[in-house]
Amino acid sequence: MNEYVVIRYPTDRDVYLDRDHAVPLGRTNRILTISSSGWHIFDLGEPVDYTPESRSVLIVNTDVDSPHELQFEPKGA
Amino acid sequence: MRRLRVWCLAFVFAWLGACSVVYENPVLEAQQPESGYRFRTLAANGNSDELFVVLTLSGGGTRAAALSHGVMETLRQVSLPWQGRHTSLLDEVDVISSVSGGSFTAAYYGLFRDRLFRDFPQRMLYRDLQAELVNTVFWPPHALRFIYPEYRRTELAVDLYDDTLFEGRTFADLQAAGRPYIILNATDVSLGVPFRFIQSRFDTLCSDLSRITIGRAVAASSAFPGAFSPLTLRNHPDGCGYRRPGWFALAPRNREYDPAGYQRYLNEQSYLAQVRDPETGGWRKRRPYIHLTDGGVADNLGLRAVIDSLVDDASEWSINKWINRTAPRADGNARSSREDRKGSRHLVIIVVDAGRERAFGLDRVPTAPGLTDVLTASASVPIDNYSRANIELVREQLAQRLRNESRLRRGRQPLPGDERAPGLHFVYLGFNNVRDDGLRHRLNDLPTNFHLPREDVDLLRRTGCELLRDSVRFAALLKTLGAKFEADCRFIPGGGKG
Repeated sequence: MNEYVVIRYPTDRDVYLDRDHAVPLGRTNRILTISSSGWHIFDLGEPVDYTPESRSVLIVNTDVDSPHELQFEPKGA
Repeated sequence: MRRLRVWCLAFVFAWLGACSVVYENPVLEAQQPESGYRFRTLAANGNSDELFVVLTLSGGGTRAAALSHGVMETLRQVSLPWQGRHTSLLDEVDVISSVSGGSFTAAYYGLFRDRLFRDFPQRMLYRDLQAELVNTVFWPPHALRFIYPEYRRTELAVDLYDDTLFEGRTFADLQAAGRPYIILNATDVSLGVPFRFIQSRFDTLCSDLSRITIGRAVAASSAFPGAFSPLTLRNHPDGCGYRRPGWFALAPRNREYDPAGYQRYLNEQSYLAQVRDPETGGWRKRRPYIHLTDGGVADNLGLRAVIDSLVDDASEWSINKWINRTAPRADGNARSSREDRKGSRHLVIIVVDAGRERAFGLDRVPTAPGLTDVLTASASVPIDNYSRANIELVREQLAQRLRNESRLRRGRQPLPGDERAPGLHFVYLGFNNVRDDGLRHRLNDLPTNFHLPREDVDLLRRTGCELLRDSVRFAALLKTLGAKFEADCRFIPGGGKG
């Protein structure tokens, strides 16, 4: 079941899913597709100059038109 | 008496020699995610990521190997203008997932590239591999090896393929050759799922794939049940520091949200789980041995690798992540000219299926089918149905992604840096697409063993070309890519109908 997320951040950078840092899921501020429903962990990889360091979120029942939105902030912002 | 002593000595030496032939796959000292035979460690060889081509080659003995060969020699003829240079569609293939007979063609191409078109027909397709396999079993020194219950007939196939076809090459050689990523699929007998000869799978066995020969992988992939015994690998104790991927920690929590993912987790865990050895008191794997049979038992098309890459974001070549690279921005409606947008991207999946259509010979007589016929149907019908279901699953997945990509962009003006939705193309090539009834019946009647007359081999190669030539979807793909294709199929022996 495909799900949809937008990871908000002031700049464009890579987004990683479920601590797999080999290949990014996509980029911030884009409507990204996830292949499966359920609990997922998101982070923005290195350098960890953002907060929180990761977010664990339940992603279910999203739609192309209503993706789940998550926010990361630069550290010290 | 002296002669008896000589015979006894000869027997002892042969027996001792046989001891050394019980195979043990090499131990991996330490898991290294950035090395070994993995998609991301392969050199791209000038292969563009913007055009991502996946080829799946089905099982079916020499007939599958020959049909695959015909398709590949045709893809090589397709001239493609791409990113300012001319290439062939075959040179743009990124992944080849193969099963059984198709694995011979895939592995040979992976190792030797253009030699596939020069010497593979002589070295494999025109050969009576079946007779050679039988002869090698009955050769007396080999027969002696069967004293050991651990020794399997398939080991003789391993030696034959390594010696006479793959020249003893290993997965280290396959890695050095770069893309395409050749995925040779066998079946894990206990789990009933594909077992892939890739390092990420061997990491869970703490085994070093780079030192395993290609002949062994192809023998496992084509160990047709009954004709060949299963091939066994040692699942070494966890001494390589295997690090479980991040999604493992989430899978039990997601068992109801993502049942398929949870099943993948259980399958992975079965390779890793350890138990106390009652004799030594130490830890050992719960499954210390993994038995492999023909890849066609779990998936006769090699398509499961594609499905996994579509539905599993943790796959090493996740198609979802590839599509996400062109995901549109979430907000804004700023206008930008078309020139701001980068070049197009395309995913192409080509399925080569040498499987049979259902035959109706039994229905010509009133007599009820015999036990052999019923057992044959019991074995083949589920595999055929599963193959058809997998084809539809991939087709539907791609269609759904196309619909969603279109919805994602609906009503939005592209922003600077936005790219167009990628093109997703699916081309199925099977005998049921052959229009000529007589030819289709002839192709379906060809056996799926490892020996075919030369004229049948050439017929299959030519059919591979003609299936591409006559495919409406392939024609649409070529038009989209601006590719050229000399469509008379005359470059294949036996001539083409043009």
